[in-house]
Amino acid sequence: MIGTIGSLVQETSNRWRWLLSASLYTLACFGSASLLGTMLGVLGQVIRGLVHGTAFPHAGAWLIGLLAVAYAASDVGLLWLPRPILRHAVPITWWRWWGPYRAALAYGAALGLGVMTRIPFGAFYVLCAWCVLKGDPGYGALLMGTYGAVRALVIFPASWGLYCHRTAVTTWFSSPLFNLWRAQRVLAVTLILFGTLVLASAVLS
Amino acid sequence: MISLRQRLQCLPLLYGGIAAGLMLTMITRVNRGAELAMAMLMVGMPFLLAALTGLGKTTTA
Repeated sequence: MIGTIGSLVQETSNRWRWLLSASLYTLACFGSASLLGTMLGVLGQVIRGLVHGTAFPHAGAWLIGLLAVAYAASDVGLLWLPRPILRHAVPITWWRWWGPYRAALAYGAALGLGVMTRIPFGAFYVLCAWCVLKGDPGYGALLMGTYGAVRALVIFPASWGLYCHRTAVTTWFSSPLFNLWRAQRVLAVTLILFGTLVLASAVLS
Repeated sequence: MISLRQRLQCLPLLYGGIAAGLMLTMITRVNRGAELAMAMLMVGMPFLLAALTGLGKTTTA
């Protein structure tokens, strides 16, 4: 991601322009992720009204638990599961077409949705399913907003790191901080822990 | 591309995650005082997962 939005990270030569671009990017990323969460919550509310009538059906807890365990296994390559996306990556050309501010907004909005880049972490789908199952638009906005905010705020330490160390984006991008395989393992363990907790709660309730 | 060896090396990690989840559940069943901590964990866990996913997604283009 930092590789694609490298222009934004490297805007530190002009501090005000960088600050404005990074802020617009963060707001757009947080906003679109919250919107996604709200929509999933509304979808859950509609389904709840039509089908079940309860806020968090027992079968739903089973579904989430099993989904979390299965996607954790899929993250480390032990199982194949579908990972629906809209695009494989956001185009790098937006910088040239729209300039720093409009491009920062566009990248933020696209990346906040999550499905505009490939998704190597099954936790994303589990979180979406969790939002639908909760059926609460406010909760959905808060949960997916957390995802969007953390994703966007990485831009600040990344920019600062580049500014202090005077390294190129590609050098920074190949640093251990951006090791995909390591991130997948950490997420897989957290996801399987979450799935086990949800499943155990469903079994014992 | 993840090799078969790398995939199999992750099995202990996954089993560790399952064991930790079961252990936490057992603790709350045995110790009633831990119920509040478990409730807090269940509330906070999705947010931790969301934050880690957001952080992890930084590695993708």
